[in-house]
Amino acid sequence: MSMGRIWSLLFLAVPVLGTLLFLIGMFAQSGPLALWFPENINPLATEIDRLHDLILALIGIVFIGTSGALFWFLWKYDAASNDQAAKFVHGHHRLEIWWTIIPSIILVVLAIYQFKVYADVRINRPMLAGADGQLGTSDDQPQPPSFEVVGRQFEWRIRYAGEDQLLDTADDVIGEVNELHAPTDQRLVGSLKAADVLHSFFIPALRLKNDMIPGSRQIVWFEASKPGNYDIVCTELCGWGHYKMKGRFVVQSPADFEEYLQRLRKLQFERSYDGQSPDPLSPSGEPAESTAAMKVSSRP
Amino acid sequence: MLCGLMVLAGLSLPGCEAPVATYQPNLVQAKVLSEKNSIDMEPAVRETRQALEDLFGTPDDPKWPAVLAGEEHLADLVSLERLKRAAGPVRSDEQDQHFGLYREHCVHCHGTTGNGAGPTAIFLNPYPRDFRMGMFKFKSTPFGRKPTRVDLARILREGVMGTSMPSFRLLKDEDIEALIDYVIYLSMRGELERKLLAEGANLDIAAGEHLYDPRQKESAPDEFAAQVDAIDEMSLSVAESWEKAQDVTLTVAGPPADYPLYTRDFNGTPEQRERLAASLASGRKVFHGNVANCATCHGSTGLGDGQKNDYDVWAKDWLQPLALDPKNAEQIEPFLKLGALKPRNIVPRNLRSGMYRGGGQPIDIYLRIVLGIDGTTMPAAALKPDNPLGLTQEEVWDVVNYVISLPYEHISNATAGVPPFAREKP
Amino acid sequence: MSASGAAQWNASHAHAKSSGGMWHFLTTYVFARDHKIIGLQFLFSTLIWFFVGGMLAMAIRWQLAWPWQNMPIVGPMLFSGEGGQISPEFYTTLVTQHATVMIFFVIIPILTAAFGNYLIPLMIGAEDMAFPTLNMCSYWMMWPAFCLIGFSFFVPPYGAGAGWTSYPPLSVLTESSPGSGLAQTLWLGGVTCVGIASMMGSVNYLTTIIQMRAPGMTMMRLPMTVWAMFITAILQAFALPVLTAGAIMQMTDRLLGTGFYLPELASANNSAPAAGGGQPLLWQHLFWFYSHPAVYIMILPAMGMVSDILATFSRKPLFGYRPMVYALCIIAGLGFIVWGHHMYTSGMSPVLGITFAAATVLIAIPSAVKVFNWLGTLWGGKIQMTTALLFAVGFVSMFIIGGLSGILMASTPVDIVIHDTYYIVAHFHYVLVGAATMAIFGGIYFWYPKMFGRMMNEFWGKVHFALTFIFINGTFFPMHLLGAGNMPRRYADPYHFEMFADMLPLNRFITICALASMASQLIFALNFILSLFWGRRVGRNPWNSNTLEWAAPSPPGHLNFDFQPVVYRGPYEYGDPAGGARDFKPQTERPQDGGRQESGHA
Repeated sequence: MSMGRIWSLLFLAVPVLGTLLFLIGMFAQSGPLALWFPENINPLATEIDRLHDLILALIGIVFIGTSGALFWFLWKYDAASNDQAAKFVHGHHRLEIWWTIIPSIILVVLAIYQFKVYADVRINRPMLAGADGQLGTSDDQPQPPSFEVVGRQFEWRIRYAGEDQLLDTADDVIGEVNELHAPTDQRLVGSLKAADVLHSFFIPALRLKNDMIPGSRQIVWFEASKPGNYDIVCTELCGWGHYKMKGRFVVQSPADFEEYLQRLRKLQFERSYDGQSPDPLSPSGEPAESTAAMKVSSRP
Repeated sequence: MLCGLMVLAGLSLPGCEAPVATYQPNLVQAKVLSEKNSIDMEPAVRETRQALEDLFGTPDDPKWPAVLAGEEHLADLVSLERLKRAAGPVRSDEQDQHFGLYREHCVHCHGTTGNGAGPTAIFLNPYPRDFRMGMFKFKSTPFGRKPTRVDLARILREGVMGTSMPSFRLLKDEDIEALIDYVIYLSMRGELERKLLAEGANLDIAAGEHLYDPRQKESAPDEFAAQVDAIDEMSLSVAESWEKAQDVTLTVAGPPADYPLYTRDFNGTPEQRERLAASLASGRKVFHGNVANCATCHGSTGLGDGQKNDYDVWAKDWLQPLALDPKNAEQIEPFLKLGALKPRNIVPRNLRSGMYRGGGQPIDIYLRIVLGIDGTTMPAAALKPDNPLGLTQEEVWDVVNYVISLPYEHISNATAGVPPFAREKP
Repeated sequence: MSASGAAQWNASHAHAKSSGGMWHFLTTYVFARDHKIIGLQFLFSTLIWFFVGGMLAMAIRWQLAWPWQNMPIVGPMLFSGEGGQISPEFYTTLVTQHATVMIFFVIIPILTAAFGNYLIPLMIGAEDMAFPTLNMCSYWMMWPAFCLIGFSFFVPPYGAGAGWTSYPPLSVLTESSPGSGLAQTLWLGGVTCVGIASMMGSVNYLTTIIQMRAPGMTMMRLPMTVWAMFITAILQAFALPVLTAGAIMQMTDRLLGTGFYLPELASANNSAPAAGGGQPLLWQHLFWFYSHPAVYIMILPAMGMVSDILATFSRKPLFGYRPMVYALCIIAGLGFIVWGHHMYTSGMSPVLGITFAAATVLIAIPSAVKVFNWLGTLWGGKIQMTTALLFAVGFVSMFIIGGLSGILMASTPVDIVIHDTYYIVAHFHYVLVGAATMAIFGGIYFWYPKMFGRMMNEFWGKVHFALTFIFINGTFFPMHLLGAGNMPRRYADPYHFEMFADMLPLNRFITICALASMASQLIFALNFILSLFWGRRVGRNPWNSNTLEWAAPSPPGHLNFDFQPVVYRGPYEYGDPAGGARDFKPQTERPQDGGRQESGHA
């Protein structure tokens, strides 16, 4: 085998190993290569996953096809293994037209399909029925945000709308830092802000990402279908602590969520520092009951 | 390929020899003592360093002083096992237990020695805490006392809002416990160092009076024993101050039952709102009155502009003994070179911003008023019955209500009803 | 061309030698106005910065593979107090400076300024550039940039730290980050200087290519390299002013208190609130308006060079010359209207996401056409597997990957998930390291004989290719998988998230491949340097190539040609069966039938 053919094998390795790597990533259950998107718990965003897989399949086919052709031409037309004269061809008009039109059609169809997916996720804000009680009429109101996340160097500050269901009023419930709670199976709207520099609020499990811009408010929406703890990740360089902005997204049943909000409200003015409980704010800790007189005592 | 391997080897050679992390001596304190007493502190610094290494070990290999391990009531102040988890380089063992926690999470702001002067410190506002004075701002113990473990745990879990201290609530409980141990360890080490340096300033080491000279273990065992005893005394007194704090019981469950509370009542029944209005009026009066004197520092409109020229105790610690002028670059320069951070004015909180570093819950504001803030000029309020001229509990809660209402108060050009911190562009 | 004719030519074009000595040396080799010397000055400067940028990348990879462990060289030097553990802001500096150096001091200057300067006059048959003094200025404007950014390495935390994208308010509020102090001002100054250098160069190229082509060199007989440089120069001329203006605005925001990019009462780290009144997104629009065309500036010259190399070593004409030219133009044109695809999640109006996505998806079409045409060039050829060809094929292989992964990112909903993850890092490294760098190496091996009159060693060149190709793929292909796992960019330590904790082994593998690929470049460096002195000497046209530069001496003297070039045909007439024993027809060779220009393509 000539040296030239050995080189062409090197180029064959690219589509072979590349495809293999992707397949392992997608389907392996364990091991260092078992890396793929986390579970999607946002039913409003399943289209995103489907779109990704569709595009990946398309480009996978093109990748294998063109890389394979690259290998094949190198193998077949290697001067050292091939006595034929080179074909004196300057091009082929019709071929050019076909291989311009066909990819164009595929890409345009893809582009149009993804507009709809995108509009559902980012443009069509959830609406509530207006005075007439009918959704889809002209007096619909945008659903107001029920929680607010303020990104600041290097933490997430959370607030929930209080009894009046409106943010930015004095009855807002101050949330625990870096921990956002949400009830399942409800379409939730949130407001994102930044206190100092740009941050970006990313919950991989919800396929939700939006930058937080100081001086403006961003509206996002999602539904969470599965209880559990998920990660919140900052995805806009915000300084040296960018990597530390770890947050936890806790999805609970609506009843648990209400109980959580109640507990937060109580914590605003009831907190025991008795030194016995290791963490006055641990989820398992019961807040102390209100007493008529306080003790502020210390051992001399 | 061979060339490649050689280059790789060459590149990794510097890596093979990881520099050993060491504690930095408190040279700022040494210089203050040196100038104040007109002596050469170098021998004292040397001996202090030796004593501390023998007692407390190194950043990679911490030790717990034997005298403290021997006392039963001090034994569980700090656990050597937890110290070892927090100390040393970042690594994990087979059980996925994390080691080197301090270096992973804390060192770049608080510094290896806990002196609040890590590589990032100079860029932060406010500066990270210097543990070595044993003083902490936001806690539940009275003014001048050490914080409890629970207080430290709270700071670690919540962070300090409005500063660069982040929240570590997502760390495992055992990791947080280990870090608390390490903070106490660094703080005690730092305090002991200050005591040793102060003692060393009184000795004439050149003439033979030693602070801690291990060479005398063989040659003059009695003298050495005396030195060790003196140092043990100092260690004990520092440890006792921590131990006492753990015993403080501060049960604050909330305002008196059915007392008006701003966040609950501002939108409540007309009766609730009326009582709240009365509470706010009372709070405003106390705020501007001359028992609490809040407006003197926080300003007549609560913007924190009452006075802005003071410095915190960590800065005054090295400025005041020598009456240095913080604005005089020439006077400050030698201390900055030794590791001090450029002094910054400590500014009273702008109460209209809605940002409270010790926490924004009503209970937190209550504690700041009642306990004061160590290291700053925020004093503990005078309270009845201990002080007949002081405030009643109800008055304190009135002030709390008033303070919480300030961000929502309509002042000229402010967006009504929305704290500036949370405002969006229209 | 007879010897006496050559002598006559030289005599009539000889310049009076100046008084010799230091002045002559300075004006010939330091403040050179000869495009070849300037091209070589750019080449050597950028190769040195290539090493610097590579070392910065190694530091990044080290931290990702062995987080918070003692970092070689840097750790003991700068962070000995912490046991060699770097500070997190140093990491942000590393990512910022790595990108800045690679983009502004390596890829753009090597492709446009080193190769462009060297090759354009030679390939079009001109004596020099249209504005030789301006050309000199464009090289020497790089030095203030080198100094400013080089100096910022010594300002704690050792350089700007807001990313090469320098988004405000992080980059503008000096207290928001250690790297946003003096270092950021120096960075802005450096970028402004680089921009001015590029703009000078682009004006020169456009004028030269339009006005100074040899007789018979119509636009449709230009080699693809020249077409690519031409289109690139248009991109530079129109896009750079926007970046320069934006950078100056950022400078005034920082130094003069203007509020172009800061919202009202902007404050970070408890700094005094700035007056503000501006909009952070404005910077993003201005920045990407340049920086998207910039990525085409970084790939089009490579595409042009690869077309030339592939045609030469396939011994057959380039497949589809006109479509290739049109594709270049369409890529460049569309490149001006797609900048918003960097900003899908930025908070700009979501409707803009649709318009930019449409344009971005369309760019895939001319890129695909180019790939098909390169395949068509190889098909049916008589392929000589020289080092240059291998790198050119490597370019095609890696451009396929980089280009295809771009389609995933073009799709707005998918980009919401993969933006700012390693999916993006994989994509742009494939097109930059994989494609552009492969083309750079290919170009160096190909044109080295012309530049220095000697060949680089082919055996070691192929060793270099094999190692580089294997290790670059090993470094960057797994990053797609990391991106699918949503690993974020610019993270000093992602492993404290449970969802990223399992990525350490793969990251370690990537680091090892990266270190190996960096080490392999030593072979190239040695080959390059040693061949300068001991490489096999060659004549004018060692590769039997058609384009005009191969008709000049190796290396060309002052004024390039020792005869007046006249062009009779297109650049890719290889393998003509009517050519007899020889399988190539140089552009400047008279046709057999006495003077009549050949018909046929171009």
